[in-house]
Amino acid sequence: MLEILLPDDRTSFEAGEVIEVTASWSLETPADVVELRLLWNTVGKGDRNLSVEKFWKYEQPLNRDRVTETIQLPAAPYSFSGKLVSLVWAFELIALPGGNSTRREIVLSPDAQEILLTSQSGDDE
Amino acid sequence: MVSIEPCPGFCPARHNPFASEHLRKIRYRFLNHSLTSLLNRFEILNRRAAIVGPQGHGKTTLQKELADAITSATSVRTYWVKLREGDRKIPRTVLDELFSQAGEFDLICVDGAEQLSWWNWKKFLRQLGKEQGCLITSHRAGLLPTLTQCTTSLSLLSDLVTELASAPDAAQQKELEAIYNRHRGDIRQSIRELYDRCSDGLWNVSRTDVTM
Repeated sequence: MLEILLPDDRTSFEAGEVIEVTASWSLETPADVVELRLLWNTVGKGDRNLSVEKFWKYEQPLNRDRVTETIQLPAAPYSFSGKLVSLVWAFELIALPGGNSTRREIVLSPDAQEILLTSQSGDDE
Repeated sequence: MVSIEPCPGFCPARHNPFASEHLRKIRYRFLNHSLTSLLNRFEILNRRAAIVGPQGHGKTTLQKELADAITSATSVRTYWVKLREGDRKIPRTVLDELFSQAGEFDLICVDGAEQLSWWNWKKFLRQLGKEQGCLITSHRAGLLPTLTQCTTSLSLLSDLVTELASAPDAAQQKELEAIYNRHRGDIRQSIRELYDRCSDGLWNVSRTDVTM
């Protein structure tokens, strides 16, 4: 079992905010490495883009452990959604080899709210 | 200009069940054959065969499924050449790298082989090792013996919509039929149209667990 714990179970954060993230795992088979990643990816009608912005590697991990990292969230890009594409930030925790993983999506923007690009905004112009 | 309030009928891309992200996870549906029967036939054809069919009929999905099955059951490795519209030749550097790496019994998959000119296709075939397998997709038959002809159906589209979003109601089923016919059985284009309809709020999804 892999788990990512966010402060106060929040999933929305301001860009650049400093937060504590806890990665905890309980593995049935030993892993060579457990990796916590902070990444963004796009999702929508077209091909997926993905960028791992930060990562933390725990080599030769215990089968059961818990690590807390103090992380400054990036300043950009912001989480946004339009009809054609969304940009989604997430923490992922993965055990290798084997690839057991878990993912928690977060929102990252100046006011901690996803920016919505709607056709209404275009109509107003 | 940016709005932070969702407008009626607006479906953000990340909630759209027809996003390409979700499509990639869908596995090939065997309509006329089973995976085993196709693998057997591939062996009978001396591991050189073509998956034939029009655009959006599942050729590439089936090719990947077969290649995965072959590599997971044997020590064979798979090498991929993906050709796009207008790729009349495989660049020399790609060919050199491919044939320097591929082992004697490995499998070379060419997706979109019909794009190659006749001359370049023959040249590619000549370079294949005697025991190397070759599984291609093509819009037309005749490049290699046909392994199978991919077909689609309205019920297949309906099944995929059910898996991706929710079971279509009677009105949606009629819409699906129109979309399917408009795209002449091209499932990819049909689902792209459904993406647009969903993003405009014109296709209601009753299921709520479609977020990424």
